[in-house]
This record gives sequence, structure tokens and C-alpha cells, in this order.
Amino acid sequence: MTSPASSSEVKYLIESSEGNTFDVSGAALRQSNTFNAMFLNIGADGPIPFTDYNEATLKKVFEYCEHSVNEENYSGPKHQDDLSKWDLNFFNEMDQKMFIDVINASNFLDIERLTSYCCERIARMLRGKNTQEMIKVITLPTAEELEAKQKVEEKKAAAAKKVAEKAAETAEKTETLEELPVQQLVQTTRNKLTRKYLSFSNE
Amino acid sequence: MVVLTELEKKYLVFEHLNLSQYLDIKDRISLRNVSKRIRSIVDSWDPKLTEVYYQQCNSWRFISESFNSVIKAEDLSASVLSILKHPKLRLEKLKLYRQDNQWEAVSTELNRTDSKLSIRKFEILNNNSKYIITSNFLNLEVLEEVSLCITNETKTEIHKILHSDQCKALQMLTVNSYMNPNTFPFKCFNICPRLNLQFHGVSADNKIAYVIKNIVRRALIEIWYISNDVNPFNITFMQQSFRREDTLIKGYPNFRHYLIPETEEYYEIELEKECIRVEWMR
Repeated sequence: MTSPASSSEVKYLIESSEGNTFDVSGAALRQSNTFNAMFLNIGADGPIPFTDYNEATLKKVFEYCEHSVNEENYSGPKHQDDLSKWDLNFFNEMDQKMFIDVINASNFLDIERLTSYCCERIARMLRGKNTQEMIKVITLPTAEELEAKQKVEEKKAAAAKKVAEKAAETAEKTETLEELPVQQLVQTTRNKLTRKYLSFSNE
Repeated sequence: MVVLTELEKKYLVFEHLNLSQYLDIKDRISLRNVSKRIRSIVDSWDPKLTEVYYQQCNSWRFISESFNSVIKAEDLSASVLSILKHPKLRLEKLKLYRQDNQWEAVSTELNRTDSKLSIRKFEILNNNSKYIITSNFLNLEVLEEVSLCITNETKTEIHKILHSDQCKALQMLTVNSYMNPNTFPFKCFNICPRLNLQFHGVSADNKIAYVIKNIVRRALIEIWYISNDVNPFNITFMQQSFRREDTLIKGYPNFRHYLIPETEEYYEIELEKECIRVEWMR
């Protein structure tokens, strides 16, 4: 069910990348500035498509929004130490993949409170670490790994090029044969056979 | 619909979120070396620094509203340059303790680039004051204050320094000196309308009184502060030196008003132990 949000009881249908739909309360959705800008005043016909994000991610994001419906208005970034037990659990039970998806979805939906907590959490993961430690935390490929990967790709490309060249050569030969007049073709084959016969008789 | 790889999603986090306010400069410098793409993201963040100090041997202090970090590393130049060259950088103060080879490398690169460094106050804390003349990296439209040290050795360069583009249009020139005021080249400073002269050595109240009378008589300056933190002024002597009847102000023994001829304006002299102020009142 979708309609202009006039009361917090209104439920909206959200559509995920899998095409699945699920309910979110108007009060929770109003924490998304993107939703406010797009649908709050005009309403939405049918499910609201947030199809860049999967169902699990969207449910996680709106779980946060539902929880913080009754919290006071957001007033700027908060330090991680100020987070409630519920907030900490919310973050701790996510793996890195889910966390990254939640950050991106929260950023797209422009949910200030959640986005700022995510920022603080990332900062906490990076603070005081050197570059190598940061690479490990973010689990990015290192320069050496990238170089090795590039070398493998170069080798693959070189091999593919060789195969392509050989194929082109074969095609060219076939083409040459096809272009020869029948008389000449017969003569060429005859010469080849003669050479083969001679080489056998020499043995 | 575009399907992003996990790596792309991670980069998106750094691209979209403004992590700059959550990380201090030390962490940002480590982060910018993580990968080329992250480097370009970090370099795009507004550094939001207020003060930068260069100490020596690649040792830097970066101050913002939220942090105060000292960073010392061999390979800092590239990172520091990326910060100093940032178009949004507006520094309240750049303090230079030494101009060693490492600083020279940074400064040469800064001089080479078209974009100038926007600093409100530039302080040179060593005796190489003439360095200001070659500091072409400064945005002169933003530069309001310069602080220099004048010694017996740099005395001969003072004329050149004061006539440089960097010193011409300043809101305030601060000069620190350990020289004896009796040998200090006061005359050269007559072209400085706004001057903060800080002596850190012997006092010569007689000479100071003479200099003040001279600048007041010739109506040369807008505002000067003269102080001596080692040997404060003898206030009784100073009051005696400025005792002309028509300049005294009833109830304010430390103030004098000297009328400027053919105007209704006057110089106000405030005599304090720590500092003497001479100001053209309009």
C-alpha cells in the first residue's frame, strides 16, 4: 500500500534489486532525505523501487530507521563511544560485505544519522594504522597483487593475440588456395605429391 | 542496472562519504597511499587546516579545529605538497622554523605551481628573514601579517625586505629582535604604517622615546606597538619623556594625545610597562 505520508501509521512498499517487496513504516522512511525529496509529498503509485540494493541490505537499513524513529532529531556526527548498546550490536552483527552495502544504501537514501555512524565506524577501523594495515582492513589488493594480476592479464592477452594471429594465418592460406584457379590447384597438389613420393623413394 | 563489484562498492564508500572530518591528517596521509584511486579521493577532501608549522628534517605540525598532529617521515613531501597545493586550503598561519633542504624541496615545488598558498599570517622564526622576498608561493591578496627576525646580520637586507611585494601591503608586520635598540635600524621602518616591534634583549628607553617623538612629529605611521619582554619599559621615565602640557589627558596618566597639524586628528600614545602603542586616531 502506498499513499502520501500524513501519519506515521502509513506503510510503504519497498522493492529491492531481486524484485521482492516489503513494508516500511512512513515514520522510518521519513529519515531518508532521498525519500522525502522524491515521494513524501506526491506519494508513490505501487512499490518504491530502490532496486540498486538487495533485500537484505534494505531491510538492514530500514531496521535501523524503524529503531531510531523515536530518538531525538539528529544533531551532527556522534562519537562511537556515544553509541547505544543497540547501535553497537546493529553494527557488530554485520560482516564487512554487508557493512559496505549498508553504507552505500544509507548514503543513497541520505539517512544522516546512519551514514554518520557508519563514517565514524570506518574512521575507527582506520585510525592510527599505517598504509599496509589500512590495506588489510579495507581488504584491497596491494600494489604487488595488482602488479601480479596485471602481469597475468598481459600474459593472457599475449597468448590470445598469438592464437588470433595463427587463426588469421590459417584463414589467409585457405583463402589463397580458394583463390587459385582449378587448373593451378591441381598442378600444386600434383607437385606436392611428387615431392612427397620423391622423398619416400630417396629413403 | 549496473552491478558493482565488491571492490567498486568499497571505493564508492570513500568517494561518497566525507570521511575527512573523521580522520586526522596523519591517518589521511596513510590512507592516501593505499591505492591510486583512494589517493585521488583523499586529495579531493578539503584539508580544513588552520595552521601548519614546518620544524625541520621533514617534521611537520598540522593543526585544525579538531586535531593537532605532529608528523615526521622521510617520504612526506608528496603528501604535504598535495595538502599545501589544495585549492580549498586557507591557512590562518604558516610557521617556518628552519629552511633546510627538505623545506627547500617543498618550497621550490610550491613556487613552481601557478596556484598560490592562501595564508593569513606567515612567520619566519629564524634569522633568514630575507627568505620572505623569494617566497613567491604566497597569495599576496590573502596575506595580512608577516613575522620576521632582524639581527645585526640581516640589518643590511632590511631595506630590500621592506620594499618586497610580500611586505608592501601588509596589515601588520611583526619584527622580533635581540638587537640593542640603540643600533636598531628604526629609520628603515618609517615606510611601515603598521608595525609590531618586539625586542627581546637590552632596553634603551631613551632611544625608544626619541623614535616615537620622531614618527609622531613627521606623521609617518598608522599604528606601532613597541615592546620588550626581557626588560620592560621604565614607565616613570617614559611618562617624563612625554610630558608636554597640551598632550596630557586628565585622569589618564599613561595616555598622550599629539595633534596632527592642519587636521583634527591626533596620535594617541599609550605607555605601558610591557608595550607602548602609538596610533593615528581618525
